[in-house]
Amino acid sequence: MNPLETAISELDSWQRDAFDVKSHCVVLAPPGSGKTKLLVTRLAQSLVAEVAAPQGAACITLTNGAALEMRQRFGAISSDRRTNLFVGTVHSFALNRIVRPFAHAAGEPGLATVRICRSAELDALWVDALDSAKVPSDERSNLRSTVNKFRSLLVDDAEWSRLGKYPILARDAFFRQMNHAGVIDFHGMVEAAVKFVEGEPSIATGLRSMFPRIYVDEYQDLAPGLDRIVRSLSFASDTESSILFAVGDADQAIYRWTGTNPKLLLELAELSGITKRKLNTNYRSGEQLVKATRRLLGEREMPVTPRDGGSITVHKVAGGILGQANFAAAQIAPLAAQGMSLHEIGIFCATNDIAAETTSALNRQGVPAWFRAQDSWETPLSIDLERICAWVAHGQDSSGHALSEVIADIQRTIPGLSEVGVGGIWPVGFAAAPGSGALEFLETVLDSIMLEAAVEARRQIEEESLGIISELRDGSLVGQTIAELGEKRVSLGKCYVTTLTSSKGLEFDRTFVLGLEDGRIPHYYATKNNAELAEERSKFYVSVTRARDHVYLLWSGYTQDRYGRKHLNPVSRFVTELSL
Amino acid sequence: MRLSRVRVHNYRNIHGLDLELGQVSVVVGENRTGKTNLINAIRLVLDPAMPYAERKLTSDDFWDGLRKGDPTYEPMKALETISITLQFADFQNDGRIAAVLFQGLVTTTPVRAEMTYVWAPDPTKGNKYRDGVYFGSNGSGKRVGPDLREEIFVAFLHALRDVEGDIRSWRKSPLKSLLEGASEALDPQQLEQIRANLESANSTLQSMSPIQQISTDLESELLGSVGRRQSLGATLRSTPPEPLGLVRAMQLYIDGDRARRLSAASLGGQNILYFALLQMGFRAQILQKVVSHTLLLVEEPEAHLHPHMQRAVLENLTPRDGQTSMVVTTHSPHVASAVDARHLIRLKSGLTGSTGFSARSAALSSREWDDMNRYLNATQAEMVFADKVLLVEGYAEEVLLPAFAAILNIDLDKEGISVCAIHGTHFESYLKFCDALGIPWALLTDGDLDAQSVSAGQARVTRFSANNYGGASPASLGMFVGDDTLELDLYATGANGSIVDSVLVELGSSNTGSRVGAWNGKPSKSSLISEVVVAGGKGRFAQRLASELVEVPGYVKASLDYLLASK
Repeated sequence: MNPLETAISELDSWQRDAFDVKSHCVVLAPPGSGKTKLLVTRLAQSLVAEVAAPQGAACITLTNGAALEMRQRFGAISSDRRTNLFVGTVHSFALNRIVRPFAHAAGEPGLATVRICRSAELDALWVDALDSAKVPSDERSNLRSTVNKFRSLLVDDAEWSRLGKYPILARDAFFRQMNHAGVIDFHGMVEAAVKFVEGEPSIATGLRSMFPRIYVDEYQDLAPGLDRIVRSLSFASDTESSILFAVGDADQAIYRWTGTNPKLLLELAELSGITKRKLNTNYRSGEQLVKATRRLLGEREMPVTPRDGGSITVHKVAGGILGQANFAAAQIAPLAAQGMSLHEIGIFCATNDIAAETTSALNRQGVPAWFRAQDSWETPLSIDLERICAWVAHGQDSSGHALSEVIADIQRTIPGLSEVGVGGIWPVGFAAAPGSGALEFLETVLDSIMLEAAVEARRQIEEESLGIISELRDGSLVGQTIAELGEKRVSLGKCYVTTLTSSKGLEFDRTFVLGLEDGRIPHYYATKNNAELAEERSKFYVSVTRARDHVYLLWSGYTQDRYGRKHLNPVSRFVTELSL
Repeated sequence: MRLSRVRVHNYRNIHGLDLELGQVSVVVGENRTGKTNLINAIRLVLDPAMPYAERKLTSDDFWDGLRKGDPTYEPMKALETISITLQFADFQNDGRIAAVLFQGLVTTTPVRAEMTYVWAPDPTKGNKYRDGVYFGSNGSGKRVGPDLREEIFVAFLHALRDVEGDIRSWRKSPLKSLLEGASEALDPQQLEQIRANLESANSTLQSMSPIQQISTDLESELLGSVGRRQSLGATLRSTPPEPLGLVRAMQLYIDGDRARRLSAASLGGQNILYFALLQMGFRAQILQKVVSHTLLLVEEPEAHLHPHMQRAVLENLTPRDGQTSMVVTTHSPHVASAVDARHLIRLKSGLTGSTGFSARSAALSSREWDDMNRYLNATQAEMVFADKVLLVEGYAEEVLLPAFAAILNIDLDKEGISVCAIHGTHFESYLKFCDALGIPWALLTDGDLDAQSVSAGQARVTRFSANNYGGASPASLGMFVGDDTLELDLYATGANGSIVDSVLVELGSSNTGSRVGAWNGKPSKSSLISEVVVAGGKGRFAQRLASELVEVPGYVKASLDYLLASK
């Protein structure tokens, strides 16, 4: 059997039921049910059996990390590299497959060469916009998040005008600032893509011909704009619609603050002409763990759990976050001594700040741990460059990154590279010493990738590497060595600390959730509003469904505000809802 | 899908060409006007089978005019670029081709996509020149991936084609896709049986001693010269050992059971066979979804063919659906007159390189196009091959004009002037057609005075000018009007009267002499025309008069002078 046939033969009956649907299909998939595997296998199969080149498929997910995993899994079962195959994030799809290619035809040639704005630059443009629109300072608080939320919801002008005059003034001034600077932000990519697809029937026709199959992961977290694009391509036309295969779990919707709405997934699943399928086996967690976490969601059908065991324990620990971190360290040390791999342990915190604090506490206790806040400059290419550094410093076995895999990923993310160019990474990589400067090394790597690359590939390389290179040149990464830069891509042998939100999609043997005081999780403000409370519950649900064997829930009974004052808090209501 | 436009910049003898194309384009033009270069230009964009050496251009491939007379000028030192852009239309309903072409969408209403070949210096590599094919109107778009470029199959037939060789070589043979398609459909068991039979025949043959002797001799010869380590394992076989090879090895023979080799056929016969195979091959490729469109580029399909065959072959090649399009160059009036006039493209050389004209840009109604097609058919498309055209009303003018020109010491052939009679006064569609094809024209028409002595001819040309040329003076546009009718105007010019009188008497009846004598050198229109009728009609009269040394009427001379001066 070839790898694809093997992957198909490994599907369970639920997955197979979904896999066999030939028309529009929405798959509701609880944690650990193998949805990514299903999606990638279905994608590979459709390229073999349903869609002949030059037509292709788009496979869309949310984060760079998820996209990387998807490309790797796809690469393991398919060597298809046709031009009309896209596997990446929603924003990359909007920008690189809709906005830029169709900018000239849509009469907005400026967008063909538009640059993604880095966040610091965006902050400055926003302030300039408020100044130029003469927005008084007392109107400025929360204005940006309001404007961004409304932009992400793509509401009409009547809806905007209900907000009063300043949001509109600020929005328009901000558009002018971005336009003038020749940049676009993430909302802007989606706004432009929706406008192109909905406003120009021929652009929608073109996308349907290029991508007669559309695969979407984590549909519940898809911004409304992307939902509209998907619907335009799959449901708006009578003829030649793209066939949609969407996977999601409304219970794991955690991006509502960005304007997403899990209802979109549920509505989609009920549309006529759509086949709804469910996955119902949790391969990840032990039975007891699954039973406990399901209680959070109220009375629901219980998934099949082939794994026995699993447990979840609550610990009231003195000493606040620091005390909880020390408690975690004390639990981890004997596990490590028994030979457990530390990268099989995940530690989840309410905020980035708490995660950073926890990481240093663990390290002080002699437990290797790492925390990766998502860097503002992170792009698919920057991740791959860091992986190359990790490979140089540790080699394939200890870094977990094979250079051939990294190169294949770069080729999949950036179409139009030459074999000479990417092949040149090998000698450059072999020649590099882990202790030498990362900047010079990456510049050599990039020079090689650029060799004989197509014009648009060069543009993409420059854009995706601009952030990391300028940080190395004169920003937060000045003076870093190859080994230092690669360190954050070396996960082996270290506990992984992250936020509840970013724990999505990950999997560990054991996990710790810290800071489970009611008021922190859920956040005090969220308790006033049912929708926000539901989202906080989803985040918690996501974080407790990551473990295969054991979840530790930690709390101390108090929180500290920014002035250092202590406030007493009961245990998180979510812990209570688990009815342990 | 169809090619809708081509733009060529700086390539060989083409400086700047922008041509509308159709599903079928038939390119005419004298030698060295850029017909072959136009075909090559299209291949640079679309034909991945074009040899590497031909895709890498050199300084000789740049338009000569860039030199501006400077012999030391090097276009590639001056960083000039060559670019060729193809525009496509009507592709949105075929998913496969749409998946390719939408990547180069340039306008949405109408839906048009473009692809551009660029030969340009690369500033990031020390201005080393490189070639590339990109989506969009210039080199700044996305590169066209090889998987996308192969979706349009380009079949190129060189003017000096080696038909027999092409059919026999496996790589180039139009038989290839047919046999490959057929071998997939064959029953593998049956095929295996045939292979076994042939194999046994083959071993019998191999084991016959004279044959075996050759093998043994060859082996020892090889052993002696290169030794055992380099042994090549040479064997003699009459059929390839693997079953699919049997199908590939099939060859075409002619003359039925006599099975004569293809080389025994005439060149014409080979060409006809080749065209038929090509057609079948395209259909097979499209059916097998190997490609979704075939672009046929044929130089001089008329080569080696009898005129009737030329028309038949062209009609057979002409695409009937959106999955094939064709660009043909020709010197054959039979080919040019067999196609819809809308498909004609005319190339012309000039100081600023070749220029091109597309007939379809003429604003004719479909009835006018039908007329035009019938006219070109009947006249072997002479107009299209002319350098300049003098449009006249009828046969009489057509016969007399060359004689008039000779009297004025003008050699019409040398000047490339064709006299075209349209048999009527409906000049307007011809003017538009000539304008569209860039053919300089003049027109001669009769004044046709009515009872009130008002010139219908003047009114006619004034109307043409108002409709098409902003009301400019007719003479400045090349429209010349006689006073009344040609015969009368001729009679009234200089001392022509007595010459006409004697021709009429010669051709007329026994009473002609007295009637002609009676008009005393001043015939009325009706009496002159009735004598012309008696003399055998306008045509016979004109033919006879053409051998007389008459004085050429002023407006006729003016029209010829106008054409001589036009470019």
